[in-house]
Amino acid sequence: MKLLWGFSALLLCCYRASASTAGFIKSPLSQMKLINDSAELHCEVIGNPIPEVQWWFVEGEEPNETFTQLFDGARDDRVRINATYIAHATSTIHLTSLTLDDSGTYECRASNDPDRNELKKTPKIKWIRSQANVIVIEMPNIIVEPAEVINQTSATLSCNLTDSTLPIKGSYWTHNGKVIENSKNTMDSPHTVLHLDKITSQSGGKYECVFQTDPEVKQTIEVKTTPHVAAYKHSEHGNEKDKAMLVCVSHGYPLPVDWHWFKLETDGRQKPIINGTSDKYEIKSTPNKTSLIIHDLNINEDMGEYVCSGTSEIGIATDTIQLRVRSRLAALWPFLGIVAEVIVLVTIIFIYEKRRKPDEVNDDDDSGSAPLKSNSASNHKDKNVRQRNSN
Amino acid sequence: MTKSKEETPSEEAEGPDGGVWAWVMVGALFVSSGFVFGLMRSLGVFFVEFVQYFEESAQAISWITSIAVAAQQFFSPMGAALCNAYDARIVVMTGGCLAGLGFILASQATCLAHLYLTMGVITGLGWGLVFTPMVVSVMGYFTRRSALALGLGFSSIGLSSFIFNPLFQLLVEKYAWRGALLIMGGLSLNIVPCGALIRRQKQSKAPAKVDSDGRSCSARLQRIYRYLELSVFVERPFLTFCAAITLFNAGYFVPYVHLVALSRHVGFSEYQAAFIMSVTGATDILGRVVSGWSAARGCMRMVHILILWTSLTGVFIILLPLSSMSGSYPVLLTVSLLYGFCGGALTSVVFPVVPQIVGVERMMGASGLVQLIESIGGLLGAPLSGFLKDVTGNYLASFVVAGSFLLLGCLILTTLPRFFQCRDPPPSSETFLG
Repeated sequence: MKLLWGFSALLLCCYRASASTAGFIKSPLSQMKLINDSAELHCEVIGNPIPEVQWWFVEGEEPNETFTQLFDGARDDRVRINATYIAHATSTIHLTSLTLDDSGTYECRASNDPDRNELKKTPKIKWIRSQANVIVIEMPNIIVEPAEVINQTSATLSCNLTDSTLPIKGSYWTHNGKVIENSKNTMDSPHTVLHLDKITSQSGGKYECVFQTDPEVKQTIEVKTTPHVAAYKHSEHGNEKDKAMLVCVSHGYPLPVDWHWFKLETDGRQKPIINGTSDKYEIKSTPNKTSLIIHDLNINEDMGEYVCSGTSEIGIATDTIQLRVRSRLAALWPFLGIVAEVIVLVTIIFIYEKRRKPDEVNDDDDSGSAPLKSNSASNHKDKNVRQRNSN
Repeated sequence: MTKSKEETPSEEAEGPDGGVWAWVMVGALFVSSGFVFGLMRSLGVFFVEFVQYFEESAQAISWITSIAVAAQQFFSPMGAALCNAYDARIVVMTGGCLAGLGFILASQATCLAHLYLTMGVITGLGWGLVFTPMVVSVMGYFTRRSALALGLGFSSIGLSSFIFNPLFQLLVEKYAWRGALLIMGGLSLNIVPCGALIRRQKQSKAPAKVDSDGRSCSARLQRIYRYLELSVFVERPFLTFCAAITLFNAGYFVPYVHLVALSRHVGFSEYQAAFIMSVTGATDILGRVVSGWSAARGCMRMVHILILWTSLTGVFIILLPLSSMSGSYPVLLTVSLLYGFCGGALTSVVFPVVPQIVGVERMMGASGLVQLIESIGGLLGAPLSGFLKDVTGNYLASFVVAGSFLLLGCLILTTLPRFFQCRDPPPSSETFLG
């Protein structure tokens, strides 16, 4: 009996000894963010048994602090908490659509005491805590000049970062999301300029000046150009009774909103619209590509020039496609010619052979067949001799 | 496109190894293999047209070529068996008609499945009935110089890709793909006169057929067994040869598939990469002719020559990624040229070895079977190399594996009986078997 007690006490001590208190291996980091941005705080804790992690929001100054616990879905679903409890505990809190009220201190709390959530007992082990500050600031004012570039051949874009105390490490420009290599500079000036010497349809788009502060601030300038419309192929061919597809693509910014197709008559213009002339024409359009599909081509009516025109808020651009309709039988003539040639050749070969037939018996004996008569070599002694010589 | 009847050889025709008609047959082989393989390699011209017209994925369209190639190789034994049963001339003429018919029907296709059936199966079947019978018929006219004859005959394969690719582009533009296919069908019919030139060799298996008369099942099976030459499968030399050729096929095509990608991977431009492919094709033609000519001199045994060219090809394939890693364009170009030359050289000597292994009267059936079995190597080789590239991230592994397949095949060939003899054994039916 005493032995049993002693043994179980030893086991308990061992169990107790293997248990370890919770400790942070990763603490959340303080950050500064802009309004409407999102922030992420990450916390990792080890302990045995695996500790539980909670997130709390601390408002006010000591000693009048108020603590609010954050849960998944809090603050109108702007808070998301992702926690895993494998080998050690990790928890990440995501705050989206930040407002000025989200500024404050965020606390990651952990405890692995089995009695931690007991309301009636005093917990022996307190929750360990690690804090991080999240400061939400208003977007500093960036004055852009000009606000928009519309249909100019060249322009100078400039950005001026005003009323901001943030330290500036440098700045650069991006075009449609891609960084412009030559625009990078590491000066701490709040003023940056980009020159566009020649604005073509390809250089249109959204330009952003980005100041490398913490957090990064940027502003967009739209450079709008007249659309550029080009046909895939300027000369298309179609077969009679078959279908033809005429395609036009466009580049530029903004892309055409409206596409129209016209057929050039000898006098003026005529419009094929998708619903008006039903089965014959089909128009499929997306902002950067339009295709006109003509069914059941007719050699007389459908051959000619077609014009595709794209309209955007800036202007209209057009391109012309020439459609040639080949009669279905066009390829038939060369084909029949070749078949006739083949028949003539075969006939000549057969006639030649019939003419040679009397001589053939002699010819075969001493030209092609001798090497193959190896298994009937018994009565062709002289052929054997010939074989050996030639080898 | 037309061949003259009076094609005289560069050297004098002597006795049984040649003759005026033999060189006429070489011309016929030139034309027909040009139409078979040249067309096969130019089907890519239609790729873009089909993708646009049928609105199918690239993979679905590329099945057309795969089916045609597979059908050509699969029906080879059947073509060989039919030659044994009937006349080679009829078989080749039928094959030419079928190949042409396939394209003609394809020009009327309204959906992708039609193309699979016509351009794929029917044309592939036609090609299978044409190629092996033509090759074997030509070899029947030569003993020592069969390699030269085949080298000259196969030189059209490289030339025709040069000619047909731009020609078909032009046809597609002028007549749309339907008209172009129709004309291609007509061009394929030119194989028929080539087949008409085959003279009866008087060694068909017709006399043997009389013995096992009767419509009984076993008699029929026996005839099929004999026509297909399935008896070669129980002989170790033939199996060794097949294994070696399958390994050759697994490695041989890898550079054709991946060389452009390798060049671009290393950083050369599109034009540089395309230029490499063009010159490789040119040296391929040269290699075929030179190897055929030098093999015909008779200085070395055909098997030894085959091993020489194949091992060199294997070595150059392994050198290709290594030379590209050096970053120098001239080095890569030189290795590619050498690869092209050796690769073409080995194709001229593969078929002449067959009669030395199975005997002259069985070479028709055996060649057909070789084609069928080597297709397995071809089917597995390119996807394997693609898989290796995906797994390792660069082409080094795929090229090294391809080259080593070729070297392994060479090693297997050395196990052929009487391999280390210096002279060819006399041409009787028991060449490699005793």
